[in-house]
Amino acid sequence: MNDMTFRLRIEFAKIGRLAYLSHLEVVRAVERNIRRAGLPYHTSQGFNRHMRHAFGPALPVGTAGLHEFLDVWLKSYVPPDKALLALQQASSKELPILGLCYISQSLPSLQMSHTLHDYNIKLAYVEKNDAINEDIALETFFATLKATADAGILELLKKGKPKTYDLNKLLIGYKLEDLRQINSQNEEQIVAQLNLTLHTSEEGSLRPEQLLAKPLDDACCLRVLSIVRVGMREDNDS
Amino acid sequence: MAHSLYSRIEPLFSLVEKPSRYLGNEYQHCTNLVIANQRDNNTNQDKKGDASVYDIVFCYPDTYEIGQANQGIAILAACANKLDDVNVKRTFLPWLDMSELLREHNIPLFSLEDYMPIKMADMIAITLPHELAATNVLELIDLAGVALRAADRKEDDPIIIGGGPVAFNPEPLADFFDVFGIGEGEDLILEVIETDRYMRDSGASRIERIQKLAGIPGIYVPSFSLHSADFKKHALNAKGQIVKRIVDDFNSTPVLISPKVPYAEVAHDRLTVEILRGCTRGCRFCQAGMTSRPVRERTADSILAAVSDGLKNTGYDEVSLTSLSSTDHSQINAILRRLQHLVCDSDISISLPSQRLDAFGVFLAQIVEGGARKTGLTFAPEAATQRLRDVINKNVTDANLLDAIQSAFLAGWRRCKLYFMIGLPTETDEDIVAIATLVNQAYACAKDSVPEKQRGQVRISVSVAVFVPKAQTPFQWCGQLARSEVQRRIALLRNSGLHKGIDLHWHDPSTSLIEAALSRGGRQIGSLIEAAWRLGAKFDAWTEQFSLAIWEQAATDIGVSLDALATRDFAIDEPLPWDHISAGVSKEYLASEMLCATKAQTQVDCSFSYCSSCGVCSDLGVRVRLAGKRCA
Repeated sequence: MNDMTFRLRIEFAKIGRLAYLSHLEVVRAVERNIRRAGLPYHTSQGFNRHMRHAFGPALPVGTAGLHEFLDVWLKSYVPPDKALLALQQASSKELPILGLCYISQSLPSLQMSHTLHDYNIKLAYVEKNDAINEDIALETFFATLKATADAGILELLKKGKPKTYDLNKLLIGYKLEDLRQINSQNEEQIVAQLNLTLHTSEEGSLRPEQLLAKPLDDACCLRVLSIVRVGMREDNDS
Repeated sequence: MAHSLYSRIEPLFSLVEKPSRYLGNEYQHCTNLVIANQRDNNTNQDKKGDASVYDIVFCYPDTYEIGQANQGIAILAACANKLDDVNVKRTFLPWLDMSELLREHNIPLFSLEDYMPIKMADMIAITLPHELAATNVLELIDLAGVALRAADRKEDDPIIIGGGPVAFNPEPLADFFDVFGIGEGEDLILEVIETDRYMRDSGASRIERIQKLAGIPGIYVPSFSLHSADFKKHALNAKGQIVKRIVDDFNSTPVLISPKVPYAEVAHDRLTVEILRGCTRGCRFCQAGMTSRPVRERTADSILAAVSDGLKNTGYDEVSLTSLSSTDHSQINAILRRLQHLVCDSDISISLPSQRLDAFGVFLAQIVEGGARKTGLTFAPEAATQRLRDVINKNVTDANLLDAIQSAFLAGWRRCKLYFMIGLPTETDEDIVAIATLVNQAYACAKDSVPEKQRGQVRISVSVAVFVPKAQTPFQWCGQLARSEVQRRIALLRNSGLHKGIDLHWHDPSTSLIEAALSRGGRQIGSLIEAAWRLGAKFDAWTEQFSLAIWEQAATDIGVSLDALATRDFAIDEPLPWDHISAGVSKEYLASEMLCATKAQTQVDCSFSYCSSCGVCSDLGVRVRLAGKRCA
């Protein structure tokens, strides 16, 4: 990377229907947004030139993100307010550009620095069914989740092979909030929300739905209504 | 009362492959759509009660990633969008996993713009891109919840109109459509919408609306039998034919500079600018070449402006200059020079599909790059002997091929694909063996054109398709080669000494058999298509989905022979199932071209020299419109 490039950190969101985009689809869409905005982005040299950028940790298909980030390298300086306006005017409603700032070239990558991920997960009943005791379902869900967290280990099949996840490193915290009283009139029938903080590193990462698979199985009549990554943070402890 | 289906469809997204196929909401720089945003939450509005709004859904009978790339739908939707109070929507055929879930949950096919059932629209417009999409058309109509056969449709059902290449012989699909639009749709679609909206608002019945549409030039109503008084309600020419519509002044039509930019990775995921329309090279097997005449070019200035605006509006990193024969454009070198200047020092690349061998020189080899260079160049000699190339009127030589290969590999290309056909009329074993000989020469030429250390990177692949006779072409009277003979000739080619470094691929003769059976069929073929669909045939153009066994069973069930349908020769004076449809080229011209083919006599290209008297310009009142002088 030559000294004459400018590293711009862009904050965006992936919301609404576009939560169902894959990471590669998001990357392509944001690249096109940057081209439409007319920013003087830096390209790699060689036979097949491409835009120089680095995205933060990927969001799975179906998971929304309220504060996502990418770094893009520019060939020339564009005042931040002008760059932001151009990007916002060229962005999709459900992939909005929220903000940006220039950062030091020496800062570590987003993948390395933003390792704490906060999620908000909304739970609903699968469908109204008299045969299922809904009161017990939420308790069962929480009990299984707690037991899994207390055990400190999660064993799952990944591509047909058993894999062990160390929850002592990966699961930083969780809190379940019972919303049955508050949302009794809610059309979507949200019964609870789970706030979850996961840690990701080069050694491994865990997706929320992997952690929730067994608690949901045990609870029988609960389903995930939505998963939203509400924030990404640096892990100051490490 | 109409309801958005989104809340019922969203839970299915996590159960299907590529949910981005079903999201809609693509970025578009500017639009005058009346639709989605204002209507998304307006779930209780009965659209049919809203007299000021006319709903039309453009449908492509394949997945989103195939259909979204189709220029036909994009152009027609853009035209329809110019009309006030018209809701223009799109839908594509859901992949197998989603269609199964839709049926399981009793959800009808929906539009991507507002997730309303497409059955609620006033009109459903289905593109008919090729014969192998026939069962997909039925699947689409059935998923929509509309009666499959036009005769069974009810008063409230939308009018279903078909158009596109297959509509030049509409009879195999005639039972499933209320109306066909023949030819270019830019003007036609506006007349259809405005006529039908007026009739609907006047309280006309469904049949009255269809009868009124029949009077629009280029419209064919298949329920009006050929010799009935009803048939005369069509706008007919002196020969009693329905004549294709055409846009005479193509250069004045707007270019799509603000298309919807898909999120999913689609085929041809790039900005597309149609630089010219029509091709008069006169290849005798080519339906597009006969049905899209005459040649009409955009000017270099309008192309450059469109590319510049289109790239700014979309953010694409590639632009493709499309047409049936882009290198034939009279200003192609100037266009490419100016484009090169426009995109220099960026990651934006230019691609130029449909390059003719005799027009590909050193300049083009150097300038066209990017996406195309990643995958390699493609040339289509079609046949390997000069005699057979003269039969098909390809008008290129072995020397043209070797020169093009040399130019390409000297300029840095390392991959090239060559297309040939087998089973062409008059073909002999000598023509088959010659494919191996010519390709070996091309391979040697490619290797000689690159530095010694890079010779290992040279890749030449050969793709061999089986000739499929098409309606409205000089070869429309010729049957397809029998399957057993196709297999023998493929085996002959494989044993003809092709260099081991050359990759040889050939099309499955089974799919070509179905194409041939459908392409020249009459109305009875509709029963075959329906029987195949009911037995599970769909996505026939997808190799892994195609099942010859299903089609054979369907043929047995309705008492026809696929081989007989495909291999049948028509007598030159025999009535043809598509005789009532005219693409402008006279039947006499096609017959004279067929005669020339048997004598291996070639025909001129009127865009380069004198008129070949095909009949298009005189019958349609149009002319060849070039931006400059074409030089051979």
